Amino acid sequence: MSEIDDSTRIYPQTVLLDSSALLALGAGNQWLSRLLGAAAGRDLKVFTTALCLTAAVAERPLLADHIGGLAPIAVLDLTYSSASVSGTLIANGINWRHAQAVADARPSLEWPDGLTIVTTEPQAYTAHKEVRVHHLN
Amino acid sequence: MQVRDRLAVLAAERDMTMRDLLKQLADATPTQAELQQRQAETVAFIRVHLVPGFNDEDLAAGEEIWESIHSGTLPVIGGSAA
Repeated sequence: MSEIDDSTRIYPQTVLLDSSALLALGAGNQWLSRLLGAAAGRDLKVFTTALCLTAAVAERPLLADHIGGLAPIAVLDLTYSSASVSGTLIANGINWRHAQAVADARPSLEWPDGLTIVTTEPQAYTAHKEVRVHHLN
Repeated sequence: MQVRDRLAVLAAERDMTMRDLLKQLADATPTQAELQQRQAETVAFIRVHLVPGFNDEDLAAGEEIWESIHSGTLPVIGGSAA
């Protein structure tokens, strides 16, 4: 990875869970549980998106209660900007379940380094080299 | 701009007093006791709903994961590592 100047960072680096990661969390994934358990003690946030949550809950409805019960998880709204970018990505071929993850994980004013997408489906992002992806085993 | 001057601008823009602004900022920042309480509740939730055997070793492993995220050593595909 490139060198990162911490003095210019607005928020600390963190991750974004896509729908596959949310489903893995609901299935008892140890890595994610560890991530969230430690986050709660340090006021660190782990993000997901409105569309990722929608996709995961559509597949496993009871998951919504689990996500809602975990304070470190913050859901990024489908804002005008996110919806616009996500719609364009979907028109260009990405599955809707992954679109807002890509839109919100790109480098931005808020997160100059972007957010790292955590997923069990890294192949879904191979066409989007602009985002970082961590393969959840 | 000095911190006090900046706070005065922020308060004026929000039609608030500096005291109210400082209270809002303080309320949004958890104390260590509140963080400990939040972690205890999160761990309890994880044990009941996700990983029954979750323990202090898992919390320590979680700290190492965050260290790898913050230091840029978490294995990733794409982005600046591409």
